[in-house]
Amino acid sequence: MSYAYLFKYIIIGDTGVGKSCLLLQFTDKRFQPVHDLTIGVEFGARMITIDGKQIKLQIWDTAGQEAFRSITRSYYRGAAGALLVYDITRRETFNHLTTWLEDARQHSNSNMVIMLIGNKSDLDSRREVKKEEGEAFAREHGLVFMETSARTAANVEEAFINTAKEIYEKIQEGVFDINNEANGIKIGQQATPTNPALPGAGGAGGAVNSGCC
Amino acid sequence: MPIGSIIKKASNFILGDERCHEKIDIAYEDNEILFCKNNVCIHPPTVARQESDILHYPGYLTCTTKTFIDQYNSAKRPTLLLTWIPNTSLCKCNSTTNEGDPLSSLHHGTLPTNGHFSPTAQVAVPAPKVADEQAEHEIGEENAAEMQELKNELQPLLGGQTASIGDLTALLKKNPITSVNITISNPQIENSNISQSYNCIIPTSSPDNEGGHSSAIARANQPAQQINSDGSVSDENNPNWMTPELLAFKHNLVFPESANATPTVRRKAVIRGRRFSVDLSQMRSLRLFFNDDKCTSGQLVIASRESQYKILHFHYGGLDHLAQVLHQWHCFLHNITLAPGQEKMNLPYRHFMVCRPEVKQSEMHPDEGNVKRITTNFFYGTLLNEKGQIDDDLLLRKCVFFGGLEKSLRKTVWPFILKCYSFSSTFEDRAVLMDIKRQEYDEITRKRLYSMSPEQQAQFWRTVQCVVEKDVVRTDRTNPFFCGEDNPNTEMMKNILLNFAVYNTSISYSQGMSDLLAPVLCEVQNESETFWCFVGLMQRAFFVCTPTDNDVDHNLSYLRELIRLMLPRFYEHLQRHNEAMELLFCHRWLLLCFKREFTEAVVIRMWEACWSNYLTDYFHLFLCLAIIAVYADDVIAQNLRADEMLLHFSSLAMYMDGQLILRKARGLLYQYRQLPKIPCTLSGLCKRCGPGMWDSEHRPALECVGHTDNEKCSLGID
Repeated sequence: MSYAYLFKYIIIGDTGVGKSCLLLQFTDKRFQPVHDLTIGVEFGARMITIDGKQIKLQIWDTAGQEAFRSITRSYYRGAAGALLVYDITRRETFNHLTTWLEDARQHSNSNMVIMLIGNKSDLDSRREVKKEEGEAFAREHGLVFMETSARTAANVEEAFINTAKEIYEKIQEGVFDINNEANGIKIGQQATPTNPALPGAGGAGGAVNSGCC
Repeated sequence: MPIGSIIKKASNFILGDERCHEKIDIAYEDNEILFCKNNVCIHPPTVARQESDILHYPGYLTCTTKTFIDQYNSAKRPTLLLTWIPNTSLCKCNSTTNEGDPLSSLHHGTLPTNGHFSPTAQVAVPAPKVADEQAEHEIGEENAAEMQELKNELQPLLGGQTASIGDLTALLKKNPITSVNITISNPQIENSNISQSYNCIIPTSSPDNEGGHSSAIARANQPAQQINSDGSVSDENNPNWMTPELLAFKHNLVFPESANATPTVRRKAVIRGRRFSVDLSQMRSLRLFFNDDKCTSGQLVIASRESQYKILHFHYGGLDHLAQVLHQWHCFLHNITLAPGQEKMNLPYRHFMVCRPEVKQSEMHPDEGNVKRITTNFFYGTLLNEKGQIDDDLLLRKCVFFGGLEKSLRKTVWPFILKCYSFSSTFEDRAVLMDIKRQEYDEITRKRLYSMSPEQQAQFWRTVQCVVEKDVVRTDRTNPFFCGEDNPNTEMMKNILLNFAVYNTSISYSQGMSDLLAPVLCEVQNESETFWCFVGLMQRAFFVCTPTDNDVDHNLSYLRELIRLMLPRFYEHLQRHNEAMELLFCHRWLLLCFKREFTEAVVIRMWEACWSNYLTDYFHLFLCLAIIAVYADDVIAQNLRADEMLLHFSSLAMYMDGQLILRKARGLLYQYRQLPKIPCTLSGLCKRCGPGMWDSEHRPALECVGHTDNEKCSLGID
């Protein structure tokens, strides 16, 4: 239950592209086609292991059509990673990517790792956006790209974990100042074995240290 | 563990009140059962159900001490192990019931044990006043009564199976702890002051308190319908299909099978039959929600560090006793000496944070409890005159504000309070008006379908229709009224939203509106009438806010001022943290008027209270204030940052006691209206609701404070 790092992620993109479904597939390994529309923000969390280190991903799932702009800004603040999602069966969700990207770049820190996700790859017969177009957009804007399906779980695991890997590499390279929580990274709680009477004191950290840096 | 020690332990608790100013001299032994309770339920989530369909899976809960040895540095620390075993496996598996200490034998292997520990080397308490044999004798005498009690307890839980007294006797013989526990877990606390330290709660099994004991039994014999089946407070007749379990299920908050299991366990697996066992010191929080006035029943909500939850329902008391055990354990770990009234200074360690929301009599609105819910008889017999007019709309609004409406009246009364019809309209007026409004509505439909240019049509489709179409099928799907494919009611919802966007182009459509419309449509049902109710709903004066920047900003600035004025401690907390003043955690509360925070039955009560426009136009802000007042102690104690606050309050969604929040909010409104002076920034808060039956308005003196330098003082403007 202990972790070396906690990364804050956000999932953004037009309404109905499958943001909540991607989250549910990643945290819960299930697909729920019928769910309530996301209002405000909902949370998901999952532990992953990179380089032998336990990393907790805290994922903020946001509303696709957030009417209240000043709230949107708060979502971006302090995010280490973002999944920018569009729906390969709806061209307009791809067309809006530029706006989303501008928003993200404007309101978040410059080191935030953004991964472009073309979702619903299982619906290939209804495809409106070619895979090459997604790749081109990603190349042009310096993003990592992947097509996923929340329904079949294809690439979902990889999308979240690859983003985490990239953040982890940035930490190793010293790009992220991990002591500044505005970067969306928190160091896991330290173990305090000197005071065994405190419940939870050892549990939070256990053997996990605060990483190598 | 021998029965004698349990009684000794129980006696310690019983006699605790006499020594509550002293050090709690309890030495815990390893593998000691500190608490056990039978028939603690879990309610597995299902997708759609009525209140009556809630499934109870009763089980046996124990809380046992353990020595945890850190596998890395061999550090030892005491901890508590909480285990819930379903009754089904208790009955089936003999090995769990045939030994003196059956439960702890089960625990072997889950955690490393290392015999005894006694970190503080204290001497155990002097012999309690109740001799073991005396207590045992007492239990023997009461076996018959207890058996009946147990039978009563088990009957509703076992459903179809009728347990014979013989079965119960066998069960009792196998597991003596059960019978003891019933005695100690029915404390009579009516006569004791609940707000005192937990140590001061006096259980009834004290031998010199026979009257109390019989009253406890009498209470246990009361019919079960008194207990709300999902443990929450809800209006009768109201579907309560949104339960905490369902929410937890939907939001990925269900607990894994054990603390060490990966949190990605498939949730499809049936939860009912699973044993649940966790090391409490590894949990993020433990919360106890009391939902009866006596503070004995309620829910224990355990949250892991992964924000996953397990909810254990105590329908038959005992939760207060668990609170006491946890509190004493906490005091033991931290060497805390408790004096009466001192407990506030020693905030419980957050793992054992005990949340006992209550509203004191003195904090309530003086009219609280005096105004009854509006019944069909009262409405047609008293409020409505022979011509169909409502002469005394103030009385109607007051009754709606305090007591609410009988469910069957919603269809009739909502159109009045949502300004679809005026209070003075007669039956005939309304018949005529309804016809006119229907024609007007049809006209809007026609306009939308046939009189837009192709460009307008394309624009409308892109900006409104495609979003609405996506949203209506994602709104209240668990409500039977809207479930299933191609549901005509969903189609109706879509039409109303599209027509509204055409009718009011400046507000148009934004996400969240479908959530507000759904419950109204579900009650009013007629499409045109629902539309006009929705029009009333979307006018800020009668509801919370349209989801636009201006409205949300306006409400948030009022709320900030109210917090500053009424909850200064929380305001200080907000000042200490960056961006906390944005009140991110209130966003959804305001936008959906608490729809995702409480179960549907109580949300409807809140909406009606807001719509009644009684004493204020901003009752929703007092509801926000009440939630903070009741549930933000943890936030201050743990010094939570802005995003952690958002997490905290989202995790409370569907666990909060809505009826209590309503009472508290009415009390806060009363307090507010008694203030001799208010800041000018709040001058508009109680304006539009009017003077009521008085000749003058509610008008406290205004102070020119609270607004920033670049804002204009609203004095004289509003």
